[in-house]
Amino acid sequence: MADLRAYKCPNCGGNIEFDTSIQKCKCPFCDTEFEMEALQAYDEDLKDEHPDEAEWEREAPKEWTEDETTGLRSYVCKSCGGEIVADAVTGATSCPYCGNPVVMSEQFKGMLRPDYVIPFKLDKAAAKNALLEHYKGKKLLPKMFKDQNHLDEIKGIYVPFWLYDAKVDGTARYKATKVRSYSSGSYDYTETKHYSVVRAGNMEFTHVPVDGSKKMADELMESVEPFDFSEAVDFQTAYLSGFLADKYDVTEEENKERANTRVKQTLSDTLAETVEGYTSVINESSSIRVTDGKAKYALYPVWLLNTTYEGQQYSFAMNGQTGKFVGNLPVDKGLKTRYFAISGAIVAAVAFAVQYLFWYL
Amino acid sequence: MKKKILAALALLLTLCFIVPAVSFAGIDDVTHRVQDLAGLMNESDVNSLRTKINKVADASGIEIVILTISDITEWQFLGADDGPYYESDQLMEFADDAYDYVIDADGESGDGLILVINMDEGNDGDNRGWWISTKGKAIELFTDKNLEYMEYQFKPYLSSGDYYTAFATFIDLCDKVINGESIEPPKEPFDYLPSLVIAIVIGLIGGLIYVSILKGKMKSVAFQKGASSYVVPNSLHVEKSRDNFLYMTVTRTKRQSSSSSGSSTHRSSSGSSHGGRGGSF
Repeated sequence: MADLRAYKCPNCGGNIEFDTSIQKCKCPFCDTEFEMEALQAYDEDLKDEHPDEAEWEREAPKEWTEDETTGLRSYVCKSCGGEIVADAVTGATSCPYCGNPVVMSEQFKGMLRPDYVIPFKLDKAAAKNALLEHYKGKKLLPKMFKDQNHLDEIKGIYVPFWLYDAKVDGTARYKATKVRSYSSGSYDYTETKHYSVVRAGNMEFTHVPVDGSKKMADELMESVEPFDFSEAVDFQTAYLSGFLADKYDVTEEENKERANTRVKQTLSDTLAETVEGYTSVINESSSIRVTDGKAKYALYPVWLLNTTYEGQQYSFAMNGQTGKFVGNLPVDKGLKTRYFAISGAIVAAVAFAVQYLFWYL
Repeated sequence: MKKKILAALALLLTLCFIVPAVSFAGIDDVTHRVQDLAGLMNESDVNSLRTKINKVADASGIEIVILTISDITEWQFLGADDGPYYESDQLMEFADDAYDYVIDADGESGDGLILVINMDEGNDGDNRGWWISTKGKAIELFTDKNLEYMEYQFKPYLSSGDYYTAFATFIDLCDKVINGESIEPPKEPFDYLPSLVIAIVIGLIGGLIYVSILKGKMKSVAFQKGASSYVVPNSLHVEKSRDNFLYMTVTRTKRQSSSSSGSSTHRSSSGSSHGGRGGSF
């Protein structure tokens, strides 16, 4: 059942990995580089030659695969023969014994096959640097947090995303006012004109991503957006080699609502922006419909970093394509009090000096 | 009726400098610039003020007149459109007319000012008032600010009944204004305590704002508000765009007097331009 795939170098037999800097697969042992297309073709040739691959599938203990409640699956590493236990959604990992990258290709077969993948463009070192950059300019960051900073974990994960295409059309009604002030004689006049404004329009969205993994925090995944879909390529399992990957465990239907909410919000905001030239605008009612919703399945690259401070875990995420880095940081109470006191004193002193000057001006 | 006309005529002659001195009841010399018809001061005070006012007016060529009356409603000026008699709240019109039809009746004393005090005895003194009317060059000299400073300095004496000091102060101030000196009253010393309280409150608010900005920087994880990054370029079509005017409301508020450095003017019944300031005391 468990189809475990390790990409072997046709040159030396070592396990090859995807290299972010050259955007190709590369053998870390003999430095041979492989075009993704060539690797795919080679892979298919190998598959044809070994129809007996199904044989070892049976090696996996039945009780693991059938017992869905445990959520665990077991694989046998092709390099060292060690048993790899992974959860039900894991699609790529590394062998805990020999460290070789392995891809569970069955997780991406048939209906589970992703349509697209955005390959990692940034490597582990870039993620570590980005974390240090992230600390910069954070005045309330506890000194200990920075100093004792040892990362518990840093991993590059291909996160499953549902990508939605949608047409949205809607109508919104606003109450708007124009205020004009003028003086005549010894009076000041304020003239308020009231309007009823109606806007109707439509717009199209493409590839709106919604996190399809329960394990990943939705808020964290939305924070590293946007991803640039123009760099997405057709999915090949070889891209996953050397990284972690999960298959989706939230369905297209379950995620749809979130995509709808977001596209509706954007149409509503866009229509509101076209209401110009008024002093005040209040949205009175709006009705927005989403049509032509289509979903695609893609794997997007995300670096996850975890660190522990005072018993609490802090998670950071970096967009593996754009390098956008996010993650909430702890606030040092002492520093907060100190900055409050210093800034408050400066503002108070300036306020006092201004009053003094104005009195004698 | 006859009494009122006489009184008007008396004032006319009193203040008209080309007319030879004629004596009427209560008026000793019509050429005098201080006429205390309400009888607020004793004779020596009046004489002292006259000496003082003549010095200032003669040296500058700006006419200065002080007139006190006991009841404005008894007056009318020959040739004036206002009236025939004045109401209590018409002190401005009275002062303008007194200048136009009496002091400047010959058209040769166009630059000057008159301070009129109305004791309003006909109405139990409920509306005791003062008005300074300026004309010609005096309008430019006695700016709104200058008149405000003058009021600030001489009115307290009027209110306390010390008329001699009030008028003496008025003449001194006129002298200073005509000679271009500043009559801006000295400021009260800076009051530390309320300013300190205000500064501390502003400081607390400022500190809170700064710290909340710093705290905001610590948080970078949040849901996206929309999906603006994924809009198909140029896919927005606004199909309907209608702006309907419904109704209009207008509110009006009386404007606060501006603190400009100029002089505001109005037209008197004779059509000449006057500046001025006044009130009750």
